[in-house]
Amino acid sequence: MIPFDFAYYQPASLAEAGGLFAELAAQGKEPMYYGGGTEIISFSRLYQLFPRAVIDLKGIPECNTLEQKDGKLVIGAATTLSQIQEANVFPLLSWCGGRVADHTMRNKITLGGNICSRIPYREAVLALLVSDSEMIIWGKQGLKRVGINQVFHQTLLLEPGEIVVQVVIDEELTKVSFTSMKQTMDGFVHYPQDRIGYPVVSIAALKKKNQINFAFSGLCSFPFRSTEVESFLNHPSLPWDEKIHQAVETLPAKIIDDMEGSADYREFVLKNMLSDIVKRLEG
Amino acid sequence: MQKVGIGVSVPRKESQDKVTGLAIYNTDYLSPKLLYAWLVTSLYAHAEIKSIDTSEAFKVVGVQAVITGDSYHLLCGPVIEDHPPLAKEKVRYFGEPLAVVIANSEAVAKEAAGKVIVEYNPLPVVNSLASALEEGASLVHKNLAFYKQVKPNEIFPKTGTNIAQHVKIRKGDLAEGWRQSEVIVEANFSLPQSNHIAMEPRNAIAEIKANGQVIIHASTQAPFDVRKILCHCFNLTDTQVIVNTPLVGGGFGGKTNVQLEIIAYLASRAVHGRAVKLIESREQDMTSSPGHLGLEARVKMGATKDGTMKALEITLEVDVGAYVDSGSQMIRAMAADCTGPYHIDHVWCDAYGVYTNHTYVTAFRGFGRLSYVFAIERTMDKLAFALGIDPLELRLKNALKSEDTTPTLVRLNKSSIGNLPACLTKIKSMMNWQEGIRRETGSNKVVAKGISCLWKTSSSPPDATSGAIITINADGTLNLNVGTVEIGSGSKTSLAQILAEKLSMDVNKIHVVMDVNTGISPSHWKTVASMTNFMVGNAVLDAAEDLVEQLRSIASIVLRCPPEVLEVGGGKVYLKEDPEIYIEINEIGNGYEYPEGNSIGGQVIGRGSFIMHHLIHMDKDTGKGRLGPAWTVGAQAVEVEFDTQNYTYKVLKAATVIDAGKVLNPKGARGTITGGMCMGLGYGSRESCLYSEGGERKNPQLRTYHLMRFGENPTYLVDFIETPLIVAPYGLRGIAEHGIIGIPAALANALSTAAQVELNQTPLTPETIWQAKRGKLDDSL
Repeated sequence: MIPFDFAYYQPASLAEAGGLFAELAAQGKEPMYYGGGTEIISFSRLYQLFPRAVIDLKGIPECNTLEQKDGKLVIGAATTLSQIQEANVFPLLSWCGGRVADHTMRNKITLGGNICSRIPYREAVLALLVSDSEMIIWGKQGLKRVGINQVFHQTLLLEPGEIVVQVVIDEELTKVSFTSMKQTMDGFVHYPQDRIGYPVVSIAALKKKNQINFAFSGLCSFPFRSTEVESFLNHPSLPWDEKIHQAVETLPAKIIDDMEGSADYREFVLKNMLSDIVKRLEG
Repeated sequence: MQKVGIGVSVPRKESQDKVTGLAIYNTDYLSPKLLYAWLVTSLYAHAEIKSIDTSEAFKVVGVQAVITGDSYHLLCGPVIEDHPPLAKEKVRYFGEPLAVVIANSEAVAKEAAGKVIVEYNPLPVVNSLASALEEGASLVHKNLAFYKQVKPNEIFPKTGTNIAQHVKIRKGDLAEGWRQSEVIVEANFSLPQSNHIAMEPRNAIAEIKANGQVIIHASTQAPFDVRKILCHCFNLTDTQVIVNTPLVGGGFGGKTNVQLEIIAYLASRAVHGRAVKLIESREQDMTSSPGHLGLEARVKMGATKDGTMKALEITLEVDVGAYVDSGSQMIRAMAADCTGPYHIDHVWCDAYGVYTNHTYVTAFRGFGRLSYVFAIERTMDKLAFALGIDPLELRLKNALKSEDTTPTLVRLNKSSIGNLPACLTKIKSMMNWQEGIRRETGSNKVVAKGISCLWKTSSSPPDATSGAIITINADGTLNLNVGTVEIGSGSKTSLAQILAEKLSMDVNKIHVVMDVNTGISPSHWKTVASMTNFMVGNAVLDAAEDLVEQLRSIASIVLRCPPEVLEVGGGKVYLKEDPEIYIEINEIGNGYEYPEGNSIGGQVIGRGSFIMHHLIHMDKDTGKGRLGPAWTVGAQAVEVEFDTQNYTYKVLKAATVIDAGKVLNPKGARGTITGGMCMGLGYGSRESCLYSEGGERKNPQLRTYHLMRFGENPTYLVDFIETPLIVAPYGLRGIAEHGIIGIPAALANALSTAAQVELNQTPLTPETIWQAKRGKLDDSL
């Protein structure tokens, strides 16, 4: 139960949502946009979040699309992870998003919500990073379209009041070879999901021509794709041990060390997974 | 005649309500008059309470009262009175309730609880067994010497230390045992505290009527104990307190403890007796209410070269947390069975209950056995490998049998111990043991098997009782009223089966009263210790005999014959020599009316009872005594597929063969054992209460406290041996807890064999196996 009162709004258009946000912000109500609302519930009931006003984006038509058009896959930000998994239009995204939380939760958690989550793992993002997806973002100047790798650095860099509307993926890239692996504290997670838990390490890898793109979760306190790491892993002449060693040396931040897994152990798992993934994708 | 009694898979009587969501649990009770309480809990593991400022909380509209521990001079506890219901002067664990807000709604109560400001003065934290036992340790209870001992025969604290309980077993001559031993192995073990995680978090409702009548609605395994403890703490009489318990959404021992009922009573008293509902959040259920004990054990075991066990020395240090509660009883139970189900002539056991600044503990499925069994069964494997004997054969060779004595010197017979060798033999073929306990199957995979035995007796008070009442309805169906709580084990259905068998009638014609009301239900000690079918079952049989006698007496008048020639069955009283001459029981169950109007008889009420007998307190110096009437023995095994490269594993199979005495309800029994195995796999593989350096609970949520999930369950194999327990209804033995007991050990044995490293602690995550392997690698350098 959420132990305090807050205002709830369900706008029917992006403009209305943005207007509400500005108005509520001006009143000092620190408004929050949301899709599924699972984090608002789980953090608020523990006194870790105190929204005074929330704006529900599920009523906005553009946020609810799920269509393939002109060689592009367009997914609305309010689409739930379960809907994406069932539609299975981008298998790598199904895999990554399909291992977030549990089935009941994925019926609520939205793609936009997972991208903008406060939780460090946000595994749906991995599929978007490796496929060089584009984000449609609504702001004061209207809609803009930007590559996720331009605007996602640890978190999605949004201006106050901006809304993630849609994610656009090149359909070509939904059909290339990929792999994705996840291990929790308790063990390896297969797909369809057989275990539930935060990742000790979760990796998505996608082969684009001769290059393998990698994105990681569970290693650092944010999901990431790193050109440096990739350049080692795709190095044409280094032996595999060395590639992996170099990649681990160039991680963008310290490895998480907590009760789900020590930093040493996460590194061990990372190395094992990378060698498995490379074997698989290089064939 | 249709008969559905013993040995038939009868669906549970409450199933339909449960699967349709219509079943009523304690907090489903709603009334416009209800007030709601929310606990304010400690943010420190050990600290003086400097002040509690409730003024901001009172300002929240709808707050009726705020109570704190300061207002009461009250210490509670079932064995030793060391526990203030609300922390007073100091807090002893993170999450300890220290104030309660009572308000018009739960939301208001919770909001105001967040506004109670507590100032603490932190004290040194006793954060481990080692720090509790070291010289000059900070004391969790400075006044240990002055606490009232409710059961002085059963608790032996050591004043001036953190040792709340010390139980000793001295059997035979240990020095002689070592002289006879040709191979001796030693090992140390560590198992963490864990949580019960019943689906229904703990809760209670209390109301005090204008005439002083106290009405409690409790989600408890022990309504009669709730009444007893409330009477004891507040100088009330049995007639003043009524405890109601509907269906309980799981307990696993966690609802034997009486905590929230006391707090709810205090809360109701603060608002002039209005009904107050107190529900714990999941996080509070995991930190404020008691969990399962932690254990550190040291084991030394000796045997001759042919594998005959000769000597055992075992030290058990139990982390009971901040208060003893029933921890002291679990320590006795562990010590009493400390050898596992093996015959050893020379045994020395010291079992300590140690206070720490962790959440306190209470009964948990298996009542402590799964923890010490882990230590014994891992050492058994170590001994087997040292001797070069197959681990299953070593167990078979030493299995307790008739004429052997237990650690507390109880001489066993076939009825009391059952048949462990038969369980081992059956599980051997079930698990295809002869194919080898370790097989490499390619691509870094190894399949390995592990075995464990289990045994358990009950540990009730020597005078534990049960009762049963049977009445007859106009349609010929029966009502069975018993004091046992339906906590999900299907016990009410089992009791109906026992009665159906006895009266040779259809079990569907027996209505069992689901709820318990201490004012009208026959009393029953507690719904614990896998003893319901034994104790209440015996009371039901006694009541059935009483009912039969009354029915024959009335029928003898109507049918004009002596009662001796009559039999009761199929809902009729009939002539033995000619069943065509009979009268239906409904015609005489509530008086018999002759055609002209004359009537005889009156209501037939079958009443029966049972009391434990020949139980003896354990001797303070040697442990000699008898805790329970008999044992249930069994063998369990686990098969894992282990990845030698990344140390992940998958449990392929978990198996149990148990001597059930008599299987009452085959599918029900399979479900009960399987549930136990699933819980055992969860505890063995991942469950653990984690505390920070300051003693704060790090994983008080299901996000971070890992449980077995649906998709992870292996193939479960369950089978039974039937060696009757002659003093039990139809020969049955308790099996409700037992599925959990040997599984963590069997898992550890399988994984130790797979990974080729000794795994002597839980949880057995891939990381802990990796750490153990790494330790081994480091040692070899």
